[in-house]
Amino acid sequence: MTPIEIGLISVIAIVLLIYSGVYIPIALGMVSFVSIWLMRDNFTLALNLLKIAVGDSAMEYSFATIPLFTFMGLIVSKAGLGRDIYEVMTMRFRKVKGGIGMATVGANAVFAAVTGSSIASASVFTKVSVPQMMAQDYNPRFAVGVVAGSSVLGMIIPPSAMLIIYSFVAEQSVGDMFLAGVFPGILLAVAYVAAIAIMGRFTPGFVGGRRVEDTEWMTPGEIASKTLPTLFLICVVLGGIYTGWLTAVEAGAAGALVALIIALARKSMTAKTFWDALLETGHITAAILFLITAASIYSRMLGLAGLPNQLQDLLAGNSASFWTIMMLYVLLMLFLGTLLDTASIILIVVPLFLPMVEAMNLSLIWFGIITVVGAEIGLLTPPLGISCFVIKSTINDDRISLKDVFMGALPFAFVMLLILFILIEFPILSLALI
Amino acid sequence: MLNTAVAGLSRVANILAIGANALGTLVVLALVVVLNIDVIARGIFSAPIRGTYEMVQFSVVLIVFLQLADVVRVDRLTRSDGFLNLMQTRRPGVASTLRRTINALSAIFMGLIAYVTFPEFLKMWATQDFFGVPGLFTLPWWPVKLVITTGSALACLIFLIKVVTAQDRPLASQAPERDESEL
Repeated sequence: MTPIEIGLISVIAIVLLIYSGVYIPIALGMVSFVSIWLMRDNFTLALNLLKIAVGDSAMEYSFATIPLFTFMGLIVSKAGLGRDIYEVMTMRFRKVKGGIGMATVGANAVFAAVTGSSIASASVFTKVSVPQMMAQDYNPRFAVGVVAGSSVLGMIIPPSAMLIIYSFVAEQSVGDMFLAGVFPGILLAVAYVAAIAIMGRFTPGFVGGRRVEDTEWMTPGEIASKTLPTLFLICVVLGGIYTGWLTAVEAGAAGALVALIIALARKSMTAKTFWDALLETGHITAAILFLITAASIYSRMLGLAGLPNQLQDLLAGNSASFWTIMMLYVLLMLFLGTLLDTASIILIVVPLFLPMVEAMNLSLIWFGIITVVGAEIGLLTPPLGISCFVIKSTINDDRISLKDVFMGALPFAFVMLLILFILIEFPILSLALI
Repeated sequence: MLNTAVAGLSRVANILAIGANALGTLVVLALVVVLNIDVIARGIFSAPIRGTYEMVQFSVVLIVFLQLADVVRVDRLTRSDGFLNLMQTRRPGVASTLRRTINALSAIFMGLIAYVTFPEFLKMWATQDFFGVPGLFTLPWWPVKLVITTGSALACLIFLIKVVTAQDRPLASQAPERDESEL
């Protein structure tokens, strides 16, 4: 067999193994190890590559962003900042049809700027927002759909774990990737709000809901105490990176400290929750970084097989147009998104396409935003929409089935796809701040 | 006889994993502290701490390999288990064979890592090689190499125990925190 054939078979084998339940880093590492061994017919060489990948790839300064931002996100969730933002937003939007849905989107967007996780967003807002929407007679499908749809903002608006992971694979600066995510994230949030307004007007049955009687307005002081901590945290993290005063790693550490001070000031932190957050941070960090380490063995294997160059020749040789290649790429991500989680899609697909994107003189930062948004659509689509599973298990209400969650999320997945095409067509949206 | 031996081994491995995990957790805390002191010292007193960059690089490796065994123990390593759960309800026998196979494969991989990195540790121990800029800030290499090797070996052991017990998650003792399983 030629190296190309071995490489192709390994990619397919990895996807099949992951689908059958093999731990993703083990599938990536083991298959790559065996195929390097077969390709070069040299067991020692394969062992050496494994040794170098494990020893070197974990030794990376910017990897420290992962524990730091995870820790910050966990502390912020426990301090109840998400609920506060949500309350202020509901007050603003409550007169509008579907307003509470728009408030959920808005609160998610702001909360996303202090956490890196869609899962955290999904579980926080399922608890806060869905019961209130149900109480106001909104359609349950719409209620869970809004939460599922807007939870993906967590992974696009910086700090985001997926942007960090992409920056490792493509060797881009984490800070640049964060800045690139700002406008696409805001754009997506605005598109969601617009979509809710349109649905409220043309398909009121799907939205549901009734007008609420006037409730008390919050005093300015109350609003300030609920929003200022979050805004300050956003300023420290994104402001620090944007002005160049902090590296992404330092911004993570400073953010974690500020979050901790906020949590202490609100008395929402005990020694027990503090230690739990640290333990949780360690688990998440080890899982993600081990995955990245395994993926670095995989991309070495792809390089040896020459698969990325082959792909480039194939597409360039047929003089495929920019949009043909992009459509293929989006379709591939949507297909993988039905089976795999976002991080795995990024780690498997990006190394295959990088040489081609470079050869086409496209921006790797722009390509990263496209990749993350495209892979995130998979969070909302069956059979393995992770956000939808989290919502279903958090809500714990037999009246709402998993199918309801997926059906409710569908319009939002469609809006995401639309935004994805806009982002592909207008790279300036991703590159404006850099 | 075999059962008690496995149970005993499993208890020892779990205690080691939990201990290493706690150590790794302290490294996370140290990371937050060191970086903040550095930012403040640099910003206000224009006196950055020497070797922050090297310490951060080191701590990342320590966090990963100190916590890896515990991640394996509570079954939080990234996987997509939709198919496995489906099989569990329809064909429990097939599912448990599949689980054992997957754990065996994982044990082999972790064993390989421990096997290739062990000579590295011996070499660094013998030469007392260091990392960093001589005269400014240096750290010895061997602790990192030791943590990589022992962490992988411990993870390998825990996978092996799972092959025997065919139990992916720790029993009632500690329910895995599934709440925010992804960053």
